Amino acid sequence: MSTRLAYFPGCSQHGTGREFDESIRAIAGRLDLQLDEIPEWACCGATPAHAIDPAADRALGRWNLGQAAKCGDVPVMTGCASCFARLRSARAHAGSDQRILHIAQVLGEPAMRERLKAAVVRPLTGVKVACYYGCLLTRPAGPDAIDDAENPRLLEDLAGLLGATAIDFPLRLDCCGASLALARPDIVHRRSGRLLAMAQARGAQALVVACPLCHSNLDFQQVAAMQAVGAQGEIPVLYLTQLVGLALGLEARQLGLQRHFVDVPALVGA
Amino acid sequence: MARIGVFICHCGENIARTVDCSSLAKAVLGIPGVRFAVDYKYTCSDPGQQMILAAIREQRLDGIVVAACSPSMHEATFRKAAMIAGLNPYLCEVANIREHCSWVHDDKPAATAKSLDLIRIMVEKVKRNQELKPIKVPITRRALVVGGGISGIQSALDLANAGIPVALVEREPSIGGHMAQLSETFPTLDCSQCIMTPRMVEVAQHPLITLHTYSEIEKVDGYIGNFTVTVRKKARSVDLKKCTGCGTCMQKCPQKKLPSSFDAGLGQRTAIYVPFPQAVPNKPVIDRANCTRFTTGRCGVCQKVCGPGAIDFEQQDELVEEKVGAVVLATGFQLYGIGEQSEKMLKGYPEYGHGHIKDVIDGMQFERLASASGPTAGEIRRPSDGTVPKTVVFLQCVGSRDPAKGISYCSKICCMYTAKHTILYKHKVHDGKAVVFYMDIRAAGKGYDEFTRRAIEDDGALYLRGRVSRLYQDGGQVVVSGVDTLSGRNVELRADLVVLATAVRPQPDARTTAQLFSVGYDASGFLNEAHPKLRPVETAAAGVFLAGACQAPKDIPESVAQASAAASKVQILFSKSELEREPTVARVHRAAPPLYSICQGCFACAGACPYQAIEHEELKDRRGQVIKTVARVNPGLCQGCGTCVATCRNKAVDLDGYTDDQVFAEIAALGAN
Repeated sequence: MSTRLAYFPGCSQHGTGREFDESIRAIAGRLDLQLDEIPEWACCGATPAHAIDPAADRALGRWNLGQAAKCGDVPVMTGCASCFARLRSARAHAGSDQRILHIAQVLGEPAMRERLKAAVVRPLTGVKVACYYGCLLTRPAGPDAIDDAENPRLLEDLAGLLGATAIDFPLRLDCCGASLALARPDIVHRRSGRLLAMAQARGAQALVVACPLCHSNLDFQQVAAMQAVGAQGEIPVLYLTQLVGLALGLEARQLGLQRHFVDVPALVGA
Repeated sequence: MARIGVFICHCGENIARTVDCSSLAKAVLGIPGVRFAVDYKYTCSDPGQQMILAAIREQRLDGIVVAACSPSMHEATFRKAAMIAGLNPYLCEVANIREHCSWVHDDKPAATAKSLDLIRIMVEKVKRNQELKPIKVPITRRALVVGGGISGIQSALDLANAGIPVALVEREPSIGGHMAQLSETFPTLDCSQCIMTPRMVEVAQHPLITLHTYSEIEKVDGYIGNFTVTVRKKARSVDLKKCTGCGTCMQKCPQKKLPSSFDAGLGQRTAIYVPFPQAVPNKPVIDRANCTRFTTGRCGVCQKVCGPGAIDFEQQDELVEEKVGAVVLATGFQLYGIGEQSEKMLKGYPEYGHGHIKDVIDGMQFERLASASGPTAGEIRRPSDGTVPKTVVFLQCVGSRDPAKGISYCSKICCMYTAKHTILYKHKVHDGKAVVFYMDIRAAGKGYDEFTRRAIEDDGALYLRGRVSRLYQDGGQVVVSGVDTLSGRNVELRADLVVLATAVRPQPDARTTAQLFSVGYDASGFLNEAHPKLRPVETAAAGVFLAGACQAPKDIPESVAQASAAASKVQILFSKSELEREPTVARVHRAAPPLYSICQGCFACAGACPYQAIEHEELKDRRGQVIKTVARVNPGLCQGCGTCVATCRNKAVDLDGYTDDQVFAEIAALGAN
């Protein structure tokens, strides 16, 4: 039976993070997830709205929850860590009991894990990945968070389901520099560089992320980031859904892998 | 017609500021039954009491109400005055017009009117008061001390030295507790074992102390002055009478690699073992869960090599009954287990990798590293590779003061022992660097602040105010990533060893202990004292006292002081030949035949009673035939809480001094106005 979700793509999935949206839709087809895009969704407000104009933040939140309700009594799902945080906040302010889920949570639900395991046609055996949550995905802590704020296991578990090996990656909850990419790129380069260098030094073949802003900082800015910490070489950065897609036998173009700045080599034989 | 006197106290200004006491005294005279009313500045003072005495005699009063502070403050004072005047003390009541009125209101006319109501209520009660006589209970002059750490040892020795026989029960194979594990003690740096072990030996040699080690409390019956406690002496598999403590069995035991809990898991022991060289009794015990003989049926080497034939694989647990008049609970604490947590409310610190990263240890493990009797003979060597760490980072408040992790209280001892650790470390590793992450330095105590200053100023410990978010292994070192909130900067350090000052928690079975002895406990599981200020060693269960860290986190001097206090409380109790108890206890209805009692014997009260005070009584006719079995309240056990009264469907049980009749009259008095 197909699982219906009210899908909130968020601005970046229609822009710099298009391949996240493409890969979400691609794997949804394989996993029997029916995504109903929320009609006339608005920007979640991201970082600026709640920092500068709380009233605007609340208004955006109310609008989006209201629109989501038009999809019926189904959970709202998003792929972006920031949209996820803002929608949770909007739900709390509205006192609503709307379920807000991140795509990683959807994939991590017991029934979905079974479905996922069954759908793997190209197990990622022997592929070493560094699972990177970033600072926002597990926070704020609470019963509606995706996992434990300080010691999450969700991404590692999912990578394991696909046959990949998650390396011990202590910086997985550190900030990549986030929206300072515009104001203080030097900070972003330093922070992201550390992450990339550690993942590389610990033998990861790819970083796995679940946030479009992290992806932008780690992929688009990778050359500068590596330089900032004096590291060499490059390491591909994949969205969780792209990693899933590869294991499900989807093609690189279906998953938007060609859009990355750092080339994604064939991790597994096609 | 009642002749009741009312005495209204100004309490200096405490009451008079918001209650018009003189007009109140006039108004009170209008209450039916009140013959006399007067207001006075300090009723509790000697002239005030003399005034009460005189009025009782001159006015021939048959009941008095003192409108003053809380009865928990001065009820005893006024009842004593009444008694001197020849009035039964239980005919004196206190109307609380201070805490319940003047302190919480500021509108004078309203507060005065409320005071009048409070007095009216008490007058109606006093009219229905009965003369009560204190209950006399015989006393068994023998004490039980539960727990053989420093607190239990101190209590047991104080009592025994006062001539009181003591049974000391310790769960572990040896007494000594945590203090025996420590290296040095703050703030004087004297050697813990040097001051501890002579006391342990004193316990063992004292003719008045019966020591039950490797034993637990199975069952508690009875009441203050007359407890019967069943002690389970766990099978030691070694006959203590035959064993000479030569140690050959331990040398020959093939099972040598079990983690030593005395060394906090850093050292190893055999399956037949003495926990530490100075143990009392210094005789081994077989750890049956890990002994090859018990797990596979083979082996038995210890039995073969034992000259006196002391090894007894067939030994069974033994139940011993101890009859005692008082109990001191000194069951101690344990450290917050930061790895796997058994309790759901405690989230642990997986981000610190304890139990996972070898060079992340807890405070007790550091004590063992610093101890001359420890696994490294007192050299600071890290567990992973045995090298001497050159940078040691100490994290305070791991677990404590963090409601998100399940504990909101301060563990009190960690600031001091961490300062001690940095000093001990510097004394042993001169070129080493000690770094401490702290929230606040809490060093209140004699010589305590000086001690932390010494750690910082003389021994060069670097104190950083802030928390650590994560520890991770990188190469041979542990990366410490945290924040220094004073400079506002993130800090990243590479440490050779990290020591976590984990929170002090109650024993995991503290709640079970509390329930066995009918003692209260708080949300964390620490045992509750009867009053946080004025009765800090008593408990809600009469005759049961508290000592040491089972009540709250405490350091050694505090534990010892409380242990001595508990011992002297027991001595005060034992100084009388008979015990007098408050007669405000429950009573089950009795009547002449053919009614006998309106109690139907459903014993709903027995289930409701928190103190196991309900007994069964067979009512017999004059031929000795049992008519019915009904409830009876044991006045020695009853604490007068009244739960049984509320539970009884037949209204067959009532509380002396607080009868339903009295309580309804009080309510009616309020309603009538």
